Amino acid sequence: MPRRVAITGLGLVSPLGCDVASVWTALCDGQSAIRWLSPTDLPRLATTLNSPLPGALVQECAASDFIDRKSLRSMDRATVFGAVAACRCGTDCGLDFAAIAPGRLGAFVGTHGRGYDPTDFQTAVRACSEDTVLNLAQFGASGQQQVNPTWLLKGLGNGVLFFVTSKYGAIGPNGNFPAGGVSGTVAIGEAARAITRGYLDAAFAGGYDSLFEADRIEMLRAARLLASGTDGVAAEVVDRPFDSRRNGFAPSEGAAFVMLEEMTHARDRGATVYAEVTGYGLNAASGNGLEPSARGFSVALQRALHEAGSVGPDGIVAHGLATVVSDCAEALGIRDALGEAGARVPVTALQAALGNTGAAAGAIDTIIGVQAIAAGCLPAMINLDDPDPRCALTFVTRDVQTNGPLNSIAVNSANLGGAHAALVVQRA
Amino acid sequence: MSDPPRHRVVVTGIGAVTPLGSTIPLFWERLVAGTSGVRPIRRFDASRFPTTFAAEVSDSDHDGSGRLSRKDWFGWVAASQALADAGLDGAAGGARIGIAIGTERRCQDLLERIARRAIYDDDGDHVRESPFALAAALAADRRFEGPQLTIAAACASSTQAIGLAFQKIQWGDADVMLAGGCDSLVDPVMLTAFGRLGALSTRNADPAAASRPFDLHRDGFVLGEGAGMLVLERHDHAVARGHRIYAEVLGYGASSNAYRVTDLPADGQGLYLSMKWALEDAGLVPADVQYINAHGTSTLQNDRSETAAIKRCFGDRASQIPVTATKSMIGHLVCAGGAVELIVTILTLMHGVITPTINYEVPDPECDLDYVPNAARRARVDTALSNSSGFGGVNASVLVGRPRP
Repeated sequence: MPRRVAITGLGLVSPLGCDVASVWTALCDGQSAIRWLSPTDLPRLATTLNSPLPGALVQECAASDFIDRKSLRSMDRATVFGAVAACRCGTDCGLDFAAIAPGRLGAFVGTHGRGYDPTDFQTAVRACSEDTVLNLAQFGASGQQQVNPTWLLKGLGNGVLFFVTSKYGAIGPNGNFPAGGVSGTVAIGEAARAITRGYLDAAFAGGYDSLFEADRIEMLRAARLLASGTDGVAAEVVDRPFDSRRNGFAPSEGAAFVMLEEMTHARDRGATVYAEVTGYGLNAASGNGLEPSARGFSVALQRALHEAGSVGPDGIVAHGLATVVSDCAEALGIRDALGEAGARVPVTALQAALGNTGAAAGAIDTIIGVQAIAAGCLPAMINLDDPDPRCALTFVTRDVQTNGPLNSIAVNSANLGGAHAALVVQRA
Repeated sequence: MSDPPRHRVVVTGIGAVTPLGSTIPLFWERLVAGTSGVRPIRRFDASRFPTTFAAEVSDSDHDGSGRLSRKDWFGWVAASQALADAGLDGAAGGARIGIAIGTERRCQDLLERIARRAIYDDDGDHVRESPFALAAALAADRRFEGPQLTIAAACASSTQAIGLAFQKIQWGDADVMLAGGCDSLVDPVMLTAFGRLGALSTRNADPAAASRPFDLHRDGFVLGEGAGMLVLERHDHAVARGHRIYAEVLGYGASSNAYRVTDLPADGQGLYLSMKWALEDAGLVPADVQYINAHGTSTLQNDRSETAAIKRCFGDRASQIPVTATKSMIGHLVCAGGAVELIVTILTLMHGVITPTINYEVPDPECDLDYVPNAARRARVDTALSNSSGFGGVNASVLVGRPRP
């Protein structure tokens, strides 16, 4: 008997809230978390935010309910979200972690990678600079002593993996993937592989990110990837996947973890099985300038569906990056992978409501896919007033609802380096 | 459950950029001679820092500009070597070739940027500064359309990348994987950050003697830089095209300490498990291992914890197994370390020569294994293990063997 992978726990931190049911309701109500951000929203980014930026922030995640004070002090913003989402998942799954055979619990995490928060360095560097030129001798002799000894650990690229493995005794095989927009998807896919191939019985799998670091916002701005809007435009309408008037994405943040568990292991303990991970596809096939390509989306989706033994999914949670290149590539990719059915399968995308959650996106989309199977519908897209005719798909909107039961959902993702990943989750 | 037969995986190409040279023959010659690559830092003025030396790559033609960062350039050069060595530098490409790179973003000009109040304003910055920039660049250039992974597991990154690449081929997800890692920590940011943590040696009077794994007077590790890349290939694929096989990858184990972020458990529990699981994965027993390339960082804790882990895994035989620390000569390559050290392990199998742990003078009573002090040794090695441990409490071990039919 092949080993199957059950999803038995969900944990979420998002700009629309941290409770899976209420985030689902907010999405179905057509809410958006995207606002115009000002320097007071994120004092660390005050300079960056001097020019208006639409974005979505996590308002509150009750971090101190889950994480001890000492650990919290050692975490940057994104790491806190990841740790909270993992804890929510750890509680939700109802596992008795002590009862899992030693070494059979692991963790696979999608991450933004090492953070380079300059704050700790700023005072010291400026004190050792003259006319914008750093005097390294002076900095070496005295300036560096002012840098917080834990700076390195606060931006640790595997901080959430460390937290999760330590808190839950997840000493088994692990992985930590800084792969931009595919990070969370890859983490779930690789964790599922580790279970089907017998290396693990259960694994935390998910992703976390906050795009609100000065350097990242600057780079995305310079690359003209961020949505912009003019004065008076509501921030809620600037992020418009697949719409003719899209012009980029709104930066966001969040985290999501699922508990993946070998099916028999889950059934034997009487766990709630939300859904099953049945397919995973990963490839590299970049388009121009390393942006996603139609072939990349198509091949990833085909591989995931082939593995799932499924001709076509009943619905798709799209990557929907809201750039012309990515959206057109994704639409073509879906049509190519699914053939005839490609034009009919209902497609939704969450970015208009949540913003671009980066390394967390694939994991958040997976949780929404799981909820969609349970609810029998996909959340309707907002801001899709005038679908780009080059993106000829059946989008779920307030007027176009899903038709019939949803037994399987595909989740698409891609990064800005030419990697594409897809997952298939199915009703168990 | 009946597993489908797993494919055998072999190494058919290697490439390295190191503080001891950027070709495999030069690197090997200097390792065998017990040369130190540690010197006073030349890339920037480090003269007034608490630590003034590092293991720099001195023969790189990277000038700081271009579409790849310094560490990714090292990776690019090592990858090009490895692919050429494997005979895959021509038209090879397609869906059955993938990439797994262990690396993390480095922001080497952070301090200068703060001083200049510089912002990122080039539309290519987001690609160049992505943690997955090298994997993306290589995949695009070589049209490698199989699985693409970037792994950030601190000092265990490239070992995990190689382990996951090994599994991709074993289970049929790819026929060939380019796997390894790259890093560069010789910059004022990391010199400050690791220095403030108290992790670096401050033996400024004698840099070449500063990295002294397992020696009683070790006082921290030495920052390094470089890259190591390997071409892993399905055994029958390599045989069918008649290419030379360096070694077979036999097993992989990865674990977490679930302990502390930088501190290590005194009993070496996590690393013990990764070694044990690598052996089990290969269907081998401790008695089969004839050489261990240690993580051996030259920090007080690591070397004791690793010694304890080896003793736990190998029992009475532990003291009979040569254990060496390549970091004694090339410093700590962090994300690249595991890949470069696995290459050293493979060269050891090939040449029948075990490279030394240099600067070993005074035994630490708590580190009582055979560390092959200061001079290389001839020995037939059929099966060997390479270890890595990283911040965040992650460990990885890879087991390799001499080619067999």
